[in-house]
Amino acid sequence: MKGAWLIVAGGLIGAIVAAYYYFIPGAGLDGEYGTLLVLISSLLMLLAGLVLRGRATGFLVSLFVVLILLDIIGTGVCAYFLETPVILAAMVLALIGWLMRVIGHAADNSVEVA
Amino acid sequence: MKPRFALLALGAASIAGALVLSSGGIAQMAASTDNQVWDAFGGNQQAQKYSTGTQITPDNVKNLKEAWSIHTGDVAHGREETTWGATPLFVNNTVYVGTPKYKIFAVEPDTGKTKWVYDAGKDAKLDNQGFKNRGVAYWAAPDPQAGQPCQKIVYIGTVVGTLHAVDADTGKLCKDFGNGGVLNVNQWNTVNNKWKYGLIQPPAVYKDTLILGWAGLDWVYKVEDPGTVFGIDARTGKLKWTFDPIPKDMQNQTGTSNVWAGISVDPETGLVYLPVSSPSPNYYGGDRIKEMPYVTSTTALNAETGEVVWSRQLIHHDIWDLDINSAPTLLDIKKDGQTIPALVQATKQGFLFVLNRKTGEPIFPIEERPYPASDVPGEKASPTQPYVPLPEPTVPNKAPGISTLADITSFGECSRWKARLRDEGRFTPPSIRGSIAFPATVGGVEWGGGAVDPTTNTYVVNSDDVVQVYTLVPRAEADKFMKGKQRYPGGYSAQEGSPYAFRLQNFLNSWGMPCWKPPYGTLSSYDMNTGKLLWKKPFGEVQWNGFYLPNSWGSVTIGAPVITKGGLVFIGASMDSRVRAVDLKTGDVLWKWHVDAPAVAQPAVYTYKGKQYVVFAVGGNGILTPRLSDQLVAFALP
Repeated sequence: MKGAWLIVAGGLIGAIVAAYYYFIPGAGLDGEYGTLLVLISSLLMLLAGLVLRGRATGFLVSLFVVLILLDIIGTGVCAYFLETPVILAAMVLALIGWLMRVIGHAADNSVEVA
Repeated sequence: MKPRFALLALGAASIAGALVLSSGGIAQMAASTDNQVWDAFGGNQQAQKYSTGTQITPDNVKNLKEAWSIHTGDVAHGREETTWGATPLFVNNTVYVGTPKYKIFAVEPDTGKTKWVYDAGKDAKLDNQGFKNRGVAYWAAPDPQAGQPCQKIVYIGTVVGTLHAVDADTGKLCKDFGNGGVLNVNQWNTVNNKWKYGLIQPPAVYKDTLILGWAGLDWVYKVEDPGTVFGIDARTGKLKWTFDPIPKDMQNQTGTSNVWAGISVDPETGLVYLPVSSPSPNYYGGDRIKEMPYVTSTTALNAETGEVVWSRQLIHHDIWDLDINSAPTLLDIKKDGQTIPALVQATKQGFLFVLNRKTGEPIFPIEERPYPASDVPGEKASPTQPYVPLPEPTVPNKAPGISTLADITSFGECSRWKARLRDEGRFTPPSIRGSIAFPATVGGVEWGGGAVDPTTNTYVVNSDDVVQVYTLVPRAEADKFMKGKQRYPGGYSAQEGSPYAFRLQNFLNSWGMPCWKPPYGTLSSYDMNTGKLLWKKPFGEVQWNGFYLPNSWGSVTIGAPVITKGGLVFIGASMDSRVRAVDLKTGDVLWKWHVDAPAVAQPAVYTYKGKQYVVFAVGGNGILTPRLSDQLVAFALP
């Protein structure tokens, strides 16, 4: 659960910072497709993180877990090349959340099995 | 307008502050109380781009902040796209800058507050040049009459061939100049006048004479306006003399060879130095084989009479549009125990011609090297061209190899294209099948030229590594699709009247990636006493859809560096909308700052009331990126 919230937080921070850069001139990123891409991918991460809050399982949830990881990696790479350290840090936060979510979920399953 | 810092307190407090900020003790304190001007496009009439300011140093430049920023309102995209490469002036306790729609802004140097605005653009409509400006010129009467207007004048040219003179204190027109303050330079445009003179570059000033060139429209006609340079009375606008690079008997065969870039002046000798561009049609010379010694040259004139003192042709029979495109930088070289009055002429080829500025003789040897012949019917390329081995050219002799990344991602498109082209290194003639052009028409060194520290003769210059493809299209074939148009999508230009139209392509794959290996731009430093290269580094960053590509790739640059006595190089110029301070000794970037667009002009550096400012006109250039702006921004230490 906590892991999902960290993913949400990472997505939210990424989206807010990307929106700032996209709409406010001065950082050389306003109106750029790359910034827009990060804004959209961060929003998707936020939404996907909300979906993962519960304890639901199944194929769709597993798919979301994989897609979120790809989203985090992709957005992080974009943030690196956009030279936006705050977004990069947000993706690190989201990655920690993802790991917590995956490890925590695996631990829960192992407890249930035991 | 966002003034961010208050004025430094005057009196004892400012002296104490100067002592703290400077590292040179009493001598620095004395310097800090004097205003240091930047009264010409090139910093001074010698085009040295050098400031004696010492307040900002490699140690404290990291603290540099935005002092003020204004927006002039003169920015446009699309059909009326603006191109703003102005260098502001600081003189008469005022910062003056011209805008791409031909306004003069006079602003306070410490706050950016506007003192007055003059609009010369009311009669300037969209013409052959689009909306472009590279600044204003300043003249002061040596014997000012108290209480009389126009003892100090600021000049701005327009794209429709008018030169406006306004009082530097009030912004009011100087009624004694031209017709009520506006000189119609275009009245002298009488031979083959295909267009109005584009007075984009501000005139040079020597005593009471303005020396004025103009910009035209490249690649469209075989016979174009001959590149007349004008000597004009600074007070009245009266024509004093003219200089024609093209012989009279060739003016029905060719044109241009105009002086569209900056002009430098030696105030001691009264010589002016012209960078003379190439003749039309730019890429086919079969109809202008006859020797024309002043074209594509550096030519020295007597500023009072316009008589040629010496001229040195730097490209023979130019068929690559390798205009001599920047004001020569004047300096005194120390060599073999002698002090030699010299100039450095940087070129699109990346050559640095170092010449005795009194005689035109080379200080470092110039070799005549053999180059390939043309295979185009009717063309006769020069069998030799001047080559400068020392100082080392800013670009290599052969085009960089194919970029693996660009080639793989385009499934071999780059390699296949290159295999079809003629590529024999420098001066490969344009051909019907297509020729690799490197360095190409964008340079090499662009119109800003280099900067020099005249106390050490350290010379710094930015340069591009860009590969383009030149293709000549037989007239009959071109007429089928161009149907009389001057330009046609795909990079076609008519060269109307010649047997060939011309096609210019950047050597990019279908994704828009450069097919050649980086770097795409460099910054280099030379010791001009010895010609030795001190350092050379990729400069700037390419920004693609917001993403910054690796530092080691560098960036194509437009604009130029300036040097300060404090040991720094300030430069914008790169594609990534950043301005930078570079350590003069090492070439390391010590400070960078985002601005609204690429700052495609050299900055100005001045000291006012003990505080040193670096000010950039941030205009952008559609050649680099679509990001344009109207920002004028100054930086200073807190």
